[in-house]
Amino acid sequence: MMDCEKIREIVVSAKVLNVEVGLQDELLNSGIIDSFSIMTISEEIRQQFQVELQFEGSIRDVFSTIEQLCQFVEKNLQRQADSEP
Amino acid sequence: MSKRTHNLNLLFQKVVERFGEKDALCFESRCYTYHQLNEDAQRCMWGLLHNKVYQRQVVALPATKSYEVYVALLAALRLGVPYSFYDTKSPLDRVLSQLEVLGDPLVVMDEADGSLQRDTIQNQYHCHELSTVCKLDRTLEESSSDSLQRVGDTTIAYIMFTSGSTGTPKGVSISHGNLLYLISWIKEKVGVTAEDRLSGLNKQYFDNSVFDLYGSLFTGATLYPVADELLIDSASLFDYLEKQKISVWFSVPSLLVYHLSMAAKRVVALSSIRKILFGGEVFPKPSLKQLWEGYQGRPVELINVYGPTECTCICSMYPLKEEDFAPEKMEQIAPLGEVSDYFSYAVVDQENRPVATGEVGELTLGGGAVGKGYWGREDLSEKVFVSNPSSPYLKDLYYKTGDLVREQACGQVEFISRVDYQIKHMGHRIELPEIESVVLAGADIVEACAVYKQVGSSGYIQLYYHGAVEEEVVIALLEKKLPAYMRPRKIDKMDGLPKNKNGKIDRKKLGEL
Repeated sequence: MMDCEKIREIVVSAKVLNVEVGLQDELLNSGIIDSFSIMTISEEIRQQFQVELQFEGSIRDVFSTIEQLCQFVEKNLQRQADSEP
Repeated sequence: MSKRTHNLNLLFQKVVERFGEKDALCFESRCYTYHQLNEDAQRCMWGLLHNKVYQRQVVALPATKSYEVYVALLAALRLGVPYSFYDTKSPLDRVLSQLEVLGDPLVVMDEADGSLQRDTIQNQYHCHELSTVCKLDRTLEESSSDSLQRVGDTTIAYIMFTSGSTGTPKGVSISHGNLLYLISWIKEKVGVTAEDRLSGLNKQYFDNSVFDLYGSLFTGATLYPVADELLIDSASLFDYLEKQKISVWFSVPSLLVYHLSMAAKRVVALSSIRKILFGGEVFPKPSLKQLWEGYQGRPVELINVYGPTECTCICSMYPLKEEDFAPEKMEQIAPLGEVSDYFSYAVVDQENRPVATGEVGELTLGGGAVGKGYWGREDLSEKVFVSNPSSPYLKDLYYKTGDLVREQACGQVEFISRVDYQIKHMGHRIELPEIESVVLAGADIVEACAVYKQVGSSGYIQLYYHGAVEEEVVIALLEKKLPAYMRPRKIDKMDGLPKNKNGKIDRKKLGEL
């Protein structure tokens, strides 16, 4: 299980609303983040985790909470590790 | 230029006569034909009249993409009463300041949208619910018909709000005649036909939506308004657009950049698309190239459009070519293209004198699509709506865009920079001094300066201030007063802001921090 604190820090630096954000707090639906935040967060994650993110499903679901985002990043890291020779 | 009709309503009637059984508006669950739309707009017109809309001067409509809103909009056009959209998701203070600019509007409220503090608006303005405002006892129609006012080409069709540097948004007034020029251009130059299906991606309070609406309902094409909730989810959005066989896309580059970064394969897989238009800000070249390459070998045109809100949405276009992506051109942004022939224009120096071809100057636009000024603000209008630079004795008005451009000998115009502190962020036009005005007026702050910092293909606003209050107070104030897209992403408190040699705040230095 990956440490979500780093993801939380990235989300906090890109959020729109001035509120505390917990791991299970609604992000998109509550307006804490917007589409610009999503791009910023994705780019930060790509750079910091050196991971290629594949958004095949619902972006809304991925960015619903920090916990969900964390799982998504973990899944992508795993996929990347599996595909490496 | 084709022969023109003198108001939008006559043009719409011609479209209805010709394409009555065609779909005019399609939502996820239902389509409406031109005949239906026409009948409902007529009924709504009597409803608005019955609700004494003439006494209110303006109809303020909620920017919700529902059928009823489009019906009410067409009804307002028939009555010759300007409509203006307000964003139900904006802070209440922002909405109230717009309504104040409009004077004494009839405010239409969408009961399905509970996001706005309705009570405050209802206490201050004459309000009606969207579901009931257009309803009328049909027997009243005859008795009301005498009171219809004449609608001409100078009648104001809509008032579109833009950021204002003094802290209050400005309401740009656009007339029926202005829009008839735009519609002719969309048909003749962009080549939109009745067979097209347009993506209604843009929010109605945003200038780009003018193209969506008038490029579809007044050409016989079909408009597919896209719900805001869908815009963020690449998979759902592109599945929807593909299913609806969308043929014309128009959005800000930011939206395309966003989806290209999230799901590039889907963006370049629209099978019915034939024209992708974008405008409102600079399209970062690497992302644009990605889009270009994705559609290479297919008959899809990528078109960069440009135009200020004050000149009816669009004044120039540039269809991208292979050569624009040559290695030596990858550092250059796409040109604005040739100014449409229904505009006259001049590139002028600071004294309003035309500069030589190839020299940098401010683009100043004249002609039939130049708007009618800022609603209720003649003082602001006089500053930027000026007399003809070629001959001040002529009475035709020119709009000073504030955009510094260079015109090449072939007539292509390229954007250089701004003359002021206006920026484009996510396609939104923002006057940075408006952000400063808000914090200076609302908190114990001595100095404030907002700067825009570019990072890769996007950017963000950063606010620097000097004052007694803590950052949390400033953030809370900004959330109360400004829509999300205008709020600084970073805020720094300083012990005094740096000054230049003239003693003014050194914006350049702050921008480089």
